[in-house]
Amino acid sequence: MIRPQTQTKEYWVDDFQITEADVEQIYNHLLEVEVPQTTQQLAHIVFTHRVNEERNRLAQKMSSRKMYQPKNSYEVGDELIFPALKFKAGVVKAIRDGYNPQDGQFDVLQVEINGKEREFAATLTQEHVLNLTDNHPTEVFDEIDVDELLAQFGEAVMATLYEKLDSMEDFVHLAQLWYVKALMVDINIGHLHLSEAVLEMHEGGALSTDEIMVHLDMDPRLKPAAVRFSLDYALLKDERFDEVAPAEEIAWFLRRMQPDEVQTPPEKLVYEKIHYDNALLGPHLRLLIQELDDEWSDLTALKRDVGKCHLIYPHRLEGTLPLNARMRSLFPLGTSPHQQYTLIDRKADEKIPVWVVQEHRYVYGLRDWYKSEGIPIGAEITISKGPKADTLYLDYERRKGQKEWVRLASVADGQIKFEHKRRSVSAGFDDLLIVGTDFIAALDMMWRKMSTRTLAKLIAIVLPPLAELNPQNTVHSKTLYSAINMLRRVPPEPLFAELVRHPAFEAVGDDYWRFNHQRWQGE
Amino acid sequence: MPRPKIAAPKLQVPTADTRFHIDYSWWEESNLDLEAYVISRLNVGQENLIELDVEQVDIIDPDTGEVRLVNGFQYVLQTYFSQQEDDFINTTSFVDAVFCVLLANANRPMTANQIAKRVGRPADVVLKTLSGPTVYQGIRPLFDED
Repeated sequence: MIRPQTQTKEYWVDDFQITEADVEQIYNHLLEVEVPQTTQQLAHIVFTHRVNEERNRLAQKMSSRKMYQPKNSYEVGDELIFPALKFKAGVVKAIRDGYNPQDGQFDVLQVEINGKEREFAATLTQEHVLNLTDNHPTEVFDEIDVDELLAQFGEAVMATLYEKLDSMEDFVHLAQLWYVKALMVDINIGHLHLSEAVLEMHEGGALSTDEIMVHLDMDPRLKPAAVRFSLDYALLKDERFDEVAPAEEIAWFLRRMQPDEVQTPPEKLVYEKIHYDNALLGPHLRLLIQELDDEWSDLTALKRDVGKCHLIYPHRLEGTLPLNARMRSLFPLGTSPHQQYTLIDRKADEKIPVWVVQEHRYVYGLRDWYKSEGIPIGAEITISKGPKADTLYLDYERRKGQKEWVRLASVADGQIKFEHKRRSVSAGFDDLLIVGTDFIAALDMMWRKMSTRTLAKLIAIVLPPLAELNPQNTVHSKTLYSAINMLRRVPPEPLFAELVRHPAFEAVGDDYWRFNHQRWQGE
Repeated sequence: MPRPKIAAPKLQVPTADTRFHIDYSWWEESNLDLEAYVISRLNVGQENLIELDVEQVDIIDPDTGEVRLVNGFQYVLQTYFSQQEDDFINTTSFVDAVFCVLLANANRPMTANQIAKRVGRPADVVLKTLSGPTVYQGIRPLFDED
């Protein structure tokens, strides 16, 4: 069976290396088209080049040789090509009689291939797969579909190609887009200052590269794609500019005009890692962790068209949304640490510009909206796919300002206190998570005081006053999680592990906990 | 005077894609008798094997056209096993089962993965057993044989 090497997995995956000839092809192609190319487009060049190379090599080999077919007869001295042995060439050294009961009599050729003697059947009258076609072996190459090869083996080839080109000085790239240094358009300091001024005039951005380019008075003879790539490359290297578009798009913003909360995470959203024993968390607590879906929980992102979260105090205060497992896939993150999105409040038809801060796992820009809509702590916020990749819908369950009994935190004599009060709430909320406050400044002071306390101490400070609200003197895990986060950013895992570990915290069933004063050592 | 440079020997380590076959020369070089092994260990009655009046037979590879010269008994064995169902796999030891599988495939080389599927054992078990220093029943890896 005739099967070119360039149609096998071994060739493209197991043994594949980028050669100097491949690089030369790519370089020449970029010089010819003068337009940046994606890794996939360059891989296509490699595939085409390799297939042609094999075809030419075979055509050259075949020019003075015969193709081996078991049905033919040969003579000593004949030079043959063996299609089923990766088109190896050999010379017939001798011929003897051959026999087997199934095929009868035939010739056996003794052929020298790469200095080694091997034997092949000839003048065979029985059927054999190599006798099926009389076409010239190079005709097989006419049927090869390079796009199909790319679909089949492209991923491995692209990874090798990326690594090779990345190590070469002649090539430059922006993510998966490649160009040659020699063709880069000169973007000077004047162009960069002008870009800054253009962005400043547009309140910092975001502007696409094309929107900036029109103001730069570039030579009209230059190819726009080359200018665009060169400008993107120069802006990326300049600290003043931040690339803020979602994945696969490019848009620029002036860093100094971004909100402070985008550059530096608000203090109350910063989680300083707390070590805990994972083995303490049983299946039931793990389910609860999944339900709470804290952005700092180690949960796999779920691919859904609708994402939900319940607000806890730090997010409600800072006007942010957690980028948790249910939300993450709705914000297709690019390579830049910040992206600008637009959220649309469907009911009010209001557009709200927000920032996704990937590293610190939050979406910033909802402080005014939370305030105007009266969104409480514990409220459920829904984000769903919008009309564009960078535009999503924002929603919550609207209620007519009903009076509800809610937990409120206050600070008296340096101690945190909780009480139930009737408040008008106009949004759906989780009854176990809601903990409001009218004492933000006092809680701020307490937050600072608590920064040096152990987690056990923090629980011992919060749990007893919270338990006083309940006739059984107990607190639900979710309520404790919500209240603790008024004094320190703590995801549920370390909190629940500490509740299980410390003897002063007693589980009383149904996720409720009680504080045992006798067992508290005052640490 | 600089020391002469000695090229490192090229070590070939079998992988799950390395092909194995029965190397009949191993039987010829050993003091074991292939016929006795087949009749006693593999439970093949003499009456089940066809009579052949030639000493040597040229087997043609159905893919490449390459010819392998085997003796008449080896040919008879291959013909017998290629006509059998895979039941023998359940009634023999692991190494004997691999031997039978290769014979059933007309001793055309098979990868550890292919053998593993036929004998119902993990590929790494096949690979470890057949790649060790001990050669079982002449089953050996083939390197660069094409």
